[in-house]
Amino acid sequence: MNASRTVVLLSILLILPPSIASHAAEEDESSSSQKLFRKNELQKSESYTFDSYADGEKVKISVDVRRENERNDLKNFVSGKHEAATPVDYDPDEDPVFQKALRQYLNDQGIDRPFNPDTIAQSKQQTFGLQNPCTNRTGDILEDCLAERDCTTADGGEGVYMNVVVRQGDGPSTPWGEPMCVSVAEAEGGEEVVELPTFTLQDFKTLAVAPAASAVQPAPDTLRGMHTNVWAEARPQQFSTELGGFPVQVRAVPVRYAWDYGDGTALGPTELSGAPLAEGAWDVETDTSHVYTETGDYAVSLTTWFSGEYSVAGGPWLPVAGLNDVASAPVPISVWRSTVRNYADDCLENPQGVGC
Amino acid sequence: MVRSNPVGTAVGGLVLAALLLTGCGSDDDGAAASPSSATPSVSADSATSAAPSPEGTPADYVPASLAGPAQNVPKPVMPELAREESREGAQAFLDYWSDAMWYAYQTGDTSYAREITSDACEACMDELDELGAVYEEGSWAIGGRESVEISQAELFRAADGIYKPVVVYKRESGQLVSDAEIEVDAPGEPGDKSILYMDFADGSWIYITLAPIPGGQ
Repeated sequence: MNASRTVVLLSILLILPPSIASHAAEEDESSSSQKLFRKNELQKSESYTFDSYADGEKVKISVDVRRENERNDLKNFVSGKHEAATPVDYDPDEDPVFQKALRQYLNDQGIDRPFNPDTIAQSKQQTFGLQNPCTNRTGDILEDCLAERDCTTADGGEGVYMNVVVRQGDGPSTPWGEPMCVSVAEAEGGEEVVELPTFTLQDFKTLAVAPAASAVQPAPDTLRGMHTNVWAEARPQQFSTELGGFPVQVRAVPVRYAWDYGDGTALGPTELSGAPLAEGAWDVETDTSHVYTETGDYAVSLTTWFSGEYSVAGGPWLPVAGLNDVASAPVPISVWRSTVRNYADDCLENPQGVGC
Repeated sequence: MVRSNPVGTAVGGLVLAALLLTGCGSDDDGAAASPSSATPSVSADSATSAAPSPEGTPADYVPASLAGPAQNVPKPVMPELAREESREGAQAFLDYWSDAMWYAYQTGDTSYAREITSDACEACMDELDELGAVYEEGSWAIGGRESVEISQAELFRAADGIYKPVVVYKRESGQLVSDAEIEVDAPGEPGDKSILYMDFADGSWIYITLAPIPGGQ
């Protein structure tokens, strides 16, 4: 693993003029209705976003990654001002086609994502590495082994695929599943397992994950003894950052919420985000609603936990060990009392009656 | 598994030749096509070597050409080995998958392919839907036979519970014929290293999707 190929990759992408990009995009559109004879292209279609920090400018390029035997197709070419690791909205529905297929398949099978909070709790001791599938082979046998495993790396160089392995504490390394394409020089390093830099929970917490929007209904005033509804709206986000010289993509997905109603009671952590009431509805009990028993001024606080996954240099998505708790700004709320009285007199007949 | 000849270059004259050779005169579409670029050597042995099913190819099999779609295409048959959860079983399944896909491309009958493809793969469903629609409109495909060869020594379940072997995906050249004209002329794909997402559940394999190798392209 070295940083130089990353630099090369970025510079190659950055020198492509926008005119080529728009030309390629047009071509892409004209042939998009045709779905026959294009399995390789359509099922493997993916796009990555790279950020360059040169000259304090960020250039975001979404690329349809070149496959073997084919040229690069640039889809978008967007440049903007540099801000350190600014979140970009991440929409799982916009995932590459193959990732979507996998996620839908796992959902249909009732198999939890490997990134759910329970799995993450178990993964605290996990380290990831690259294992040469040609270990313990030398000379001609090694060359045969490498020849069978050749691939093209992200910078277009000769590569070999390495097994991504995971190690629990001091235990043995077990295959993670998806192999990764790395340069031949790295594969010949002689070490049995090349450690991948681990994106830790600490690293995760340094990212400016946008907090959930916190809402209280009705606000800013509500009534004692009435159901006051609260809900959270959090976006999945994606970051481009750097780790040990490698470009790293990080995704933050909201998974849990907790509310402190400010009157000494709390809800959660729960997977329920709540939802706004139907228009005109009020005093409706919801999964996240609360009944204040005392009048007063309170602040409703919301904490959102994000699970993280990261990809080093275009490698497979690996879980971040632990959840990132992000606090939303407290929402002030005044709880009032209301008094209801029933009167028997008809004010038209008896204008002096009580309550008239 | 015997792989077929590339029939993508076959043109009308081939079918005329094939009709003469096999004595099969069920369709006269071939008369309209020019015999100028006939390749008799392909047609002469196509009946015996293009065998997509273990039972062999029926003598009256006619590959697709400009003149018309393939005729008497043998239905794909899944061997017992393809139901085995092993590397060999997975390869046998992928061989059957390519038979089922080729049957779909030759006939427009996508039912065999659908049985073994996860509907979670939208791109797969789109491809099969379009294939069915193309044949309903009276168009047909020539060639385009696919193959998938597992190139990974060991097969194991990934952390998310499914199999993700490294494979070499190949596709022969193919054409889509519509209104007696070649609407799409797709060059073959000589062999792209990919990852194949597949799963073994309830006693059988299922094809999920083709995916790129992380870090590579």
